[in-house]
Parts: sequence; C-alpha cells; structure tokens
Amino acid sequence: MSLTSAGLYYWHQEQFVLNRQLRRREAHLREHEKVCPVTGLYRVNYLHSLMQQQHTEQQGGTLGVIDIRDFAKFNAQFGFSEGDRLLREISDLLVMNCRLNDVLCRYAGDCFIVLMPNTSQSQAKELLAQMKAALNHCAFKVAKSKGAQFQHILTATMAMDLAQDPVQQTSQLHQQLQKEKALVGAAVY
Amino acid sequence: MQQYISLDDKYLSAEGMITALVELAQGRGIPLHKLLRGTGIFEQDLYDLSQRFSLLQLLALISQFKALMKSNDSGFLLGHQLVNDFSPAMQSVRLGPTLGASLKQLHKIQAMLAPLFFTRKHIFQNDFYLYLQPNVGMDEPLKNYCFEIYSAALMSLLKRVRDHYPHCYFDFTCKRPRHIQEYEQHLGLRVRFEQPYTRWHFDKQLLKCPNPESSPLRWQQCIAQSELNKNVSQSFVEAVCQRIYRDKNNSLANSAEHFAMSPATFKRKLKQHGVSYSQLQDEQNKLKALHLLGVCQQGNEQVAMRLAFYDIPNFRRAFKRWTGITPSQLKI
Repeated sequence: MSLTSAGLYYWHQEQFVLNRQLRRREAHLREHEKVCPVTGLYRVNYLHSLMQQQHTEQQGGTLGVIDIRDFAKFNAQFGFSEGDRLLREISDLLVMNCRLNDVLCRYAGDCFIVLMPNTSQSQAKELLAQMKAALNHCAFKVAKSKGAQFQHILTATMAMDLAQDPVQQTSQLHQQLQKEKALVGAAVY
Repeated sequence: MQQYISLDDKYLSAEGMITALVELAQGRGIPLHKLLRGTGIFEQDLYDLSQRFSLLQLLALISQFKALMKSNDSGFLLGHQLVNDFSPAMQSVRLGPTLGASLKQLHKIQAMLAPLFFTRKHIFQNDFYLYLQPNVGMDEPLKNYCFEIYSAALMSLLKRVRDHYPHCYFDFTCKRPRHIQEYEQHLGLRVRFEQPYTRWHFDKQLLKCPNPESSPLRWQQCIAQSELNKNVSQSFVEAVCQRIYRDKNNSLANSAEHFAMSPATFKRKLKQHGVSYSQLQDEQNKLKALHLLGVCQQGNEQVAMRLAFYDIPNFRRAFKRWTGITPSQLKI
C-alpha cells in the first residue's frame, strides 16, 4: 500500500515536470500526432490550426521565422544522426528563449516558426534577435571533430494578417526568409 | 541482341539508395526487420556488396520506408543522403569538373544510380530542360514520393557544384501537397504543381559552373571504377519510349518486331511493368508536343506535322485529350 502511494506521488511529480516542460511548446490544443518526432516540437499544421483559432478570436500577433544556414552541409559532413541531435538541441534552446505565451513550431527541415500573440513587430524583432544571439553562441560539440560547431542564423518577422489563409501566410513568411538568404547570399547555402 | 533491364532482374548493388535508406531509417530508430519485411531482402544481403537486388525489391523497400518514417521530409532527406554517398558511381558524378560533366556521367550510369526514372534533356536558347519519366508503373503517391527523392538529390548536387543558391524550376504533375513547406525548404520557391509533365529546368550557364569539389585524377579513377562495375544499359520501358520518340513508324506490331518479340509477348512484358503501349505512346507524343509548343514556340501546323498527324483538327483533339487544354490555350 505504502509502496503504491509512494509510486503515485513520484508519478504525480513527474507529470508536473513534464507539464512544465511542455507548456511553452504548445498553447491549448493537444494533438499528439501533430508532434514532430525528431525535435518534439509541434508541426506546422498545428500552427495553422492555432492561427485559425486566433482568427476566430480576433487576436493579433506576429510570426517570426528562424532558419539555420548551412544545415545541409552540416548533415553531409557529420551525418544525419548528428544533424538530428543538433536540431533537438536548437529546439530546446529556442524553447528556453521563448516567452510563456509564444508557440514554437518546426516548419520544415532546419526552419522554425514562432507565433507571438499580442506582440508588436518591433517587440518581435527584439525577441528574435535574442534567440539569434542565443543560437549564435551555442557551441555544438560533434563527436567526430575536435572543435565546436557554430551556426549561422537568419530570421524574419511578419505581422499576422487575420484575413489571410494561414498556409499562405507561413508560405509568405518563408519566402521573405528566402529573399533574405539570397541577399546575404553567396558562398553559403 | 541488346539486353534490357526488366522489373525483376537483379542488378542493383546495395551501395547508394539501399544503404542510404537503411541508414536513415536506423538513425530514426526503425528496426531493420520491420523495414525489410516483405521486400525479399535479408539483413545479411546488405553486408555483401556482391549481392544484387531488383527494381521490384527497391520499390518495395521505398514504400516500406515511406510508411515507417512517418515524417513528411523523409523523401527529401533520402535525396540529400543519396548525393552524400561514397560509392565510386556517385563520386564519379560528384567530382566532375563542371555540372555539365557531372550530369553527363549521371546520364551514363543512370540505370545504377537512379534506376526508377529515365530522363530526356533538351537545351533551348538559354535554358536546360530535363524531363523525367518513370521506368515502372507506380501508384500516384509512391511516384510523387520518388520524384521528391530525386528532386532533392538534384538540388543537393546543384548546391555542391555551385557556390551560391542555384535557381532551379521544378514542375510536378501532382496537386499542391499539404506539406508544401518541405518543398519550399528543400527545393526552393520555384516549384509548380499540376503541370502536364515532371520537369526540371534551369539556366544553361549553370552547366558550365566549375565544381569547387572537383579533382580530375580522382574523378577519372572513379569513372574507370564505375565503368568496371557497369553491367547494364537501359530499362525496357525506357527503350520502348525511346523507340516511340525517335521513330515515326511506331505501331505496336512494328515496335514488337524491333524488340524481336511477338506482339502478345511484347504486350505481356509491358503489362508486367505496369504500363500499356498506348499509354506510353500518348505520353511521348504529349511531351514532344508540349515541348515544341511551349518551349520552342512552334506553330500548330509544324508540330502536327512533326508528330505525323494527318491534319490540325486531329492534332488539336488529341492534344486536348492528353492535357485537357487546347494548343492555343497553352500559348497564352
């Protein structure tokens, strides 16, 4: 009897910890088939449903996008399992740098989108700059090489347009990022 | 007579696609026995490089991979991984002095590196066009998945030989997929859907770009090495398509005779590959007409003549049947 209650107590504690950990990765929808298995972040279709909901509630917000440059090169150099590990570490770092209300999603590959409700664009820019700084200073250790790997980060923001289709919007945001990539341009992909 | 590859000929080595696929799946924690279930490939076959596999087995493995990976980007990752491969065949493509030389080499050993498709290239004015067609009849989702794999591989190859972001146009026949973000991320923004063909198209100048990774000596060595292992030429479907494309006199009886078969055997053999003769014929004519009209901007009369149509109304009717639009609508 006492063993069971002790077990239950620890289980309860564990749930607390898990909940706390999950809090900044999701808002209030819970659909676990929408989780990306690699990073544990939500996939983009979750973000879309969330944006739809914001639209019905008439809440404004800003979208930010974060992209790691040269990630394909990293994969080619160190292999996909290291690449996956890097993605996981980066997503943890990003979650750490998010505010409580922000929702972070993995968009595709090495591209993350963060939804910041009730945030002006200048505020969002500042937040993204903080995330970028955090990622820039992350020295990722790879088993194969002696030195640490540093990542180059690109970001872009866009105010959420309530009238527009969410898929269209994220696509637009991504386009903005790609343009920036072309501007920063040569030598790296 | 020349031997053509059929669906169940075992000639593919485990290098390249199969290895990349197994490694990726294991990296994501998928047990090997689950991946290999129903493919006719056994674990010990993978350790033996002299072991050969058939197209049928490869296809089964790919569909198993697709089902087990569950993530939308698995095809693109596989494509990238294909180019990272260290087999002499892949290196002989990757180490070429220019992109043009790489693509030429790729075309030569396509049956080994990219056995599921064959390509036809055209250069018109400033652009380079590559039309892709499947070597095997596949169901629609699997075909699109395979196109994803190879498109990602091409993009990866382009990025290697080019020092800034290469702009390549990708046309797909499928509808705009739900995971459009993966296409944007891995292939860039110049992706179009619901096109009448699957086509890659980029600036001709890219072909002449020097490859920063190139090393002439190692390149030659790899070419010689892959030449040694080369044991096959062309798939059967590709050979039939080529014959239809080049020869005007391409009735079923004529083609069967060309391949030294009776019409019934010929038909049976095509059916085994999941295609029919009239389907191939339509496809070839469609691609030819679309290229002449859309890219080369030729007139209806010229194109109808090139395709051996008796008159223009007949051509217009056939074109509408192939694509759903009339030739003049295409030009707008």
